[in-house]
Amino acid sequence: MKYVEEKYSQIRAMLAEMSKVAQSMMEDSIKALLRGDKELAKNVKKRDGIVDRFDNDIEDVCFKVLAMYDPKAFDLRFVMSALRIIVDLERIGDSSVNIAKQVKHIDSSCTQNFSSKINEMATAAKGMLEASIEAFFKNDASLALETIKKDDYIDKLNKQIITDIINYISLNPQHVKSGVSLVYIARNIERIADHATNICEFVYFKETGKSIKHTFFDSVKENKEDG
Amino acid sequence: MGDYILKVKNLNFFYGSKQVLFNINMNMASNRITALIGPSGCGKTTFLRCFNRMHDLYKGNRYEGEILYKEKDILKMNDNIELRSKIGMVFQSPTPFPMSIFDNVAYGLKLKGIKNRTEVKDRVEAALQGAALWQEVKDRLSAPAGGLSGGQQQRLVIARALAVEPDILLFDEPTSALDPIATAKIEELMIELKKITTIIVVTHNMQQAARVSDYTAFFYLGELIETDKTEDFFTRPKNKQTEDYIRGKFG
Repeated sequence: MKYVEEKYSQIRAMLAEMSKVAQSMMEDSIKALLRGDKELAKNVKKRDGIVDRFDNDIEDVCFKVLAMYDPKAFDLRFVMSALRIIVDLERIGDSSVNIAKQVKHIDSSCTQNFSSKINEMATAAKGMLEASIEAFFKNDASLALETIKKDDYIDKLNKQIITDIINYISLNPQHVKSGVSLVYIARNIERIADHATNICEFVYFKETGKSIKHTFFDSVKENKEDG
Repeated sequence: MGDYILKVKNLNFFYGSKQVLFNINMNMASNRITALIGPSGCGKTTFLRCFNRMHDLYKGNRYEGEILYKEKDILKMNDNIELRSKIGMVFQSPTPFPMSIFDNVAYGLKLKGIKNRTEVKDRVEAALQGAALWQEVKDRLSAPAGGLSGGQQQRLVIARALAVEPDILLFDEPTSALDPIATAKIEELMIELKKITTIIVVTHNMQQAARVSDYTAFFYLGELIETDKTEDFFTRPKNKQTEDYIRGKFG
């Protein structure tokens, strides 16, 4: 089955490239924000088209593999997870563009007040994203499960940062616009972490054949330990 | 899971001194389709042929173990004609007899001593209806069966088996000689037939096993490697050899 193996390799290679672009967009959108770098923000927006093209191209190859080779077992789960993961990577690209678009609206003094917390949250989300991609390529279901666990921490940071921003703008009404932008940015970082969680769920499915979507982490872990 | 119509216990089979099946244990659910898959020479057809004692036709073949059909051991039964009317076989290539369409279907009934013309006529029609062939042949029942297309001939053979009201139908690669349209008709028929019979099918076509069967069993080198619900078998097999085989990585 040399031909179909070539197709799987092609999907893997394109997914690796797409992940790299999405990761770099996320990283650079935060850099642009923290540095107030509008050129870098523009550059992030430009890269969105690359991610979209990978989305289409990978979908096309998966579609043909399903139609022509009728994959089974791990191969079927691999193709299905690839089809789902590209949706999350594409949305990570969109969230990064959303962050980049806010750079020009934010007053730098406002950013400085929250740079440490935004950076903390972005670093955690970036770590989750990297781990989710690593879990996919290393076929590591345990790493996927451990990574999902970290999403709660990011949700907590998100709530905390929003509360802080609301308090800040109530005392500094001249920064309402910047504050709203920062809330929107925090929300997008939190969404990136959610997409990393989705990727981990598909990695787990790919490796075990079991779906853990909409399942609380503890119950999955208990099942795994029981099994 | 419903009742098991067949229970295979510690089955070994020998062609002369050569053992080709090794300690097979497996149950077949009633009114379900079980697909047997595996590479050529794995023993799946040999296994299938044990159920209606086809191997008895050749000297020196030997069974060990038990095959319980409705709790009675097939391997100890004396009346193979009665057994084969209850457990019918459909082969790879259609095997119509050189006689009319009607007489092909009535053949088994006559063997069973059913002579009442009305009863024979009714059962032939019911069998042809059951095999989804009636509409195509009802106006030419006295025509030679050899004039039917390959797909029609295979459905005729199924009708012939159905006429004697079998509990189980054994299909040995029933569509490998047919085109995709005729194949689809046979597959639809198999799914329809499980309302009244239990089906065991040997197939080299994994897609066919995935499409039609409720359970799938994988054989390799005369051993039963894995059996499971078809939907689990093809999406998350438990055995590494099964996984490799269905992914086309075997060898």
